[in-house]
Amino acid sequence: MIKVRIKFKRGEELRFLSHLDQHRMFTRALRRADLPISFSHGFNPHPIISFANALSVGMTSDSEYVDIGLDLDSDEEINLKQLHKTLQSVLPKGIKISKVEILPEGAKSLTRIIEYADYDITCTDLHVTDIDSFNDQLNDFVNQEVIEIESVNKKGKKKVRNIRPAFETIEAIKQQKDVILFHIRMIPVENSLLSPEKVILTFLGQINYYGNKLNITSHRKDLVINEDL
Amino acid sequence: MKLNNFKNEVNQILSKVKKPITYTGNEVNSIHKELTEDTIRFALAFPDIYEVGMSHIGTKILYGLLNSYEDIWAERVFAPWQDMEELMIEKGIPLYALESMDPIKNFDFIGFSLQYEMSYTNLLNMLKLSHIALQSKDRLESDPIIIAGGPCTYNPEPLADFIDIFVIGESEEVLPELMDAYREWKKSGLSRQDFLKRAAQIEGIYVPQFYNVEYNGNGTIKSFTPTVVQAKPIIKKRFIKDLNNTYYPENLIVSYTQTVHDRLSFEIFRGCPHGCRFCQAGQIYKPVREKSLNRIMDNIDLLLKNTGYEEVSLASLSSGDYSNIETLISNLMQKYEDKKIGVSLPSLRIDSLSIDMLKEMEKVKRSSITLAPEAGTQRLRDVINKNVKEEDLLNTVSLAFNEGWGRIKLYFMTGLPTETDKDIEGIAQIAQKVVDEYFKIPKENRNKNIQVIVSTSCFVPKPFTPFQWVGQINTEEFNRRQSYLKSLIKNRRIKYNWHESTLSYLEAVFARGDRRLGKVLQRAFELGCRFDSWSDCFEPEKWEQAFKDCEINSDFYALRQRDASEILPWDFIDIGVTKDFLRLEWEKALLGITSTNCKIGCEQCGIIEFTKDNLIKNSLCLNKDLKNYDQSQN
Repeated sequence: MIKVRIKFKRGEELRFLSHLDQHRMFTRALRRADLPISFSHGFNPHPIISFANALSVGMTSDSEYVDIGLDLDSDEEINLKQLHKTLQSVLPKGIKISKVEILPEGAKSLTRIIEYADYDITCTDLHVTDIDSFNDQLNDFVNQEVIEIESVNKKGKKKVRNIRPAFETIEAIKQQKDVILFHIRMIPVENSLLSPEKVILTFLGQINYYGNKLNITSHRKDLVINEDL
Repeated sequence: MKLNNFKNEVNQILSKVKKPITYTGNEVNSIHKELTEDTIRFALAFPDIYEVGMSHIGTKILYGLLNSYEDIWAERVFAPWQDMEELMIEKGIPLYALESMDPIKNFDFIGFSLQYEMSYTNLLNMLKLSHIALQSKDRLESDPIIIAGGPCTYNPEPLADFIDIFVIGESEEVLPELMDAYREWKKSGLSRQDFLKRAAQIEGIYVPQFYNVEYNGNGTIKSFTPTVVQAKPIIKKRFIKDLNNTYYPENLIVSYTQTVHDRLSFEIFRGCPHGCRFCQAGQIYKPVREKSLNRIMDNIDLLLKNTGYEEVSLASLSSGDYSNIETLISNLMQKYEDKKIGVSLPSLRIDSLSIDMLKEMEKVKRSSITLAPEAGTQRLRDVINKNVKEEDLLNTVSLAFNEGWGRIKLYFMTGLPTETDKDIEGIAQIAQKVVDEYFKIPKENRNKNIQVIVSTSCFVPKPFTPFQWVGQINTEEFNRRQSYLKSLIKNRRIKYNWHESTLSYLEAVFARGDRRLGKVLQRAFELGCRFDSWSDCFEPEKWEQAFKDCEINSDFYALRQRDASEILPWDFIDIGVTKDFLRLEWEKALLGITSTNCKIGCEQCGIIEFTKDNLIKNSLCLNKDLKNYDQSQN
């Protein structure tokens, strides 16, 4: 089996895909491309395809990764340019492939090599009078060693967790009246990325921001992977 | 021409609803066209949510068919779920089609698919959300023509006030004819009324406003007469004579979200050779017509390539009856084994052959097996002409247990004509015997877990069946029989589910209703009824209120035993099967005499006479004349 790593962008058209939808969509695209898909062994064989990280429903992204397995004996059988073209032709508008590469044998799985991810979070209807003092408040927030939030799991059990290790930096920029853009860098904790929106909302809660109902749109600007991790 | 769409407005509310992806369109293989002055815009409307509507084969056929004409752009529209509806109203967004996101009010046609009676309030809601007058008589010259088709239109009368044009029967041929008439009319500059009159002349088209109904003192129909010369006194259903040479899509929209049937459903034949007496589909889709093995294999291959589906399901009313079913399945299995594409059959009858096929298809998965004996005793199964013996059922079950299946689902109906408590007891007994079969299988062969799930639905008498004259039993009696059955089932390995009888009662009202029910429907809708077939949305008190407000006695429609001489609301439709045949079948039912299936013998239902000018190809019908014709043609 040869593993191929695909880097792609997800645009406006498909921002409401769930992770499962996206998985299904890619699997069917591979079938339409008539590629020799590798299947898992076992009772219920399914195509070998794995994403770096689930992109939340509603988010767009410039940097997503997926690894697929192809049933070929050697990578010489693959023409990367052709593969790039074929894949793009079977994918819907809203998915744009930026890079296709062949993985060396024994490459680590995508979920284990995420270094960090950068997001642009745009909040409309967020009223900020002085952006500098707002950023000071943000700095105070970031400088805390522990930021605990309470979450309720599926069984209804309450759980307290520290979200501070899940992000590195946040910065706020006033774009226009009542529109604030946050740059935020998230770091994986136990191989998974926390939702950046959760961090912003926690911050707004801490500074007792009670405004209108916020309108948030999020974009993953970069997802950086590092084989040496 | 410019699109006048609501893309921006919609985008702003989508993040607030539960299933945003079902309101955005842009799926793989969805069709987008350039608009010109001549484009005929057609909204294929399904009065239920996206996930349900996108599983319907008929809509997919028509989407492909209509879009195959250069000057027609067919798009889709579904009923928005309540959260979306609220936001659309709040933001002033009218109901829009998924492809262009244009309001469907600007379209030439809105065509509703009517699959079940309890979707009628959704139809009204979709008209309202589109800002189109509910009643046909209140519509403007510029409004779209509202048409409807599908199995429910075999009794279109309850919707007579709301629909401009009904298509009776299979629409692959009649819709293009209607489009031709529309192109001509558009050039003519004549009025909407003129178009409707022109349409009424096409075979299979019914325009309800051109008919007048008079009633007797007892509420039954006295007369049903056309009011304009163009309207035909009898509407003959349309049917396709040769499925092999009829349009079927080679490409299908692949949804992003998981739909109810998230696979390639491929129609292998139309009609059903069995004459179960409660079943409407068995009568209205006659004659039985098959597609050839080659056509099926080729078409499926194209569809799989174009969609990327990982499962193909062979759809029909009774797929095990396809002449070459075994060859078809093994060919498919062989061809797609490497690609790990699964094959499934949605509707199987009970016999050992089926188990062998299932074994082949579900090489690894051993999910559940569903069997539908429908009634608890042989006597009642003879009444309904469900030619399945208990022995066959137990043999099948035993084979299945031996092959490692552990979950068996058994479907029954309660309230069938002549049913007594003995028949209810029979249901419990069959369930117990199924459990007993399990314990006869050696431990090492059988599944560790066994569960028998008994489900009962409530019998609803339907038009164009031998039971069309029968009164339904009332809801109290349904509930009593359900409780009785519940009390008889004590084995913890048997689980019992039953249907809400109030919903089946309403279904019986509208299935056999007349046009006076239109105002009840509208009233119920105004009171807030929507998604009535969804149990958590169904509000029976509102329906009760609606009947009261309109001073209409619902029992008249559901519970009353109708006289043989009575003019039934749907008598003006000719489905090919004669009323005399249905009556004879009813009399045989009462005597417990069964009828044979079309593959073995001919019961002279009338369909041969009906189709003689349009000789059918590849029919399963065993009528001599037809077979002879068929052979001379091949």
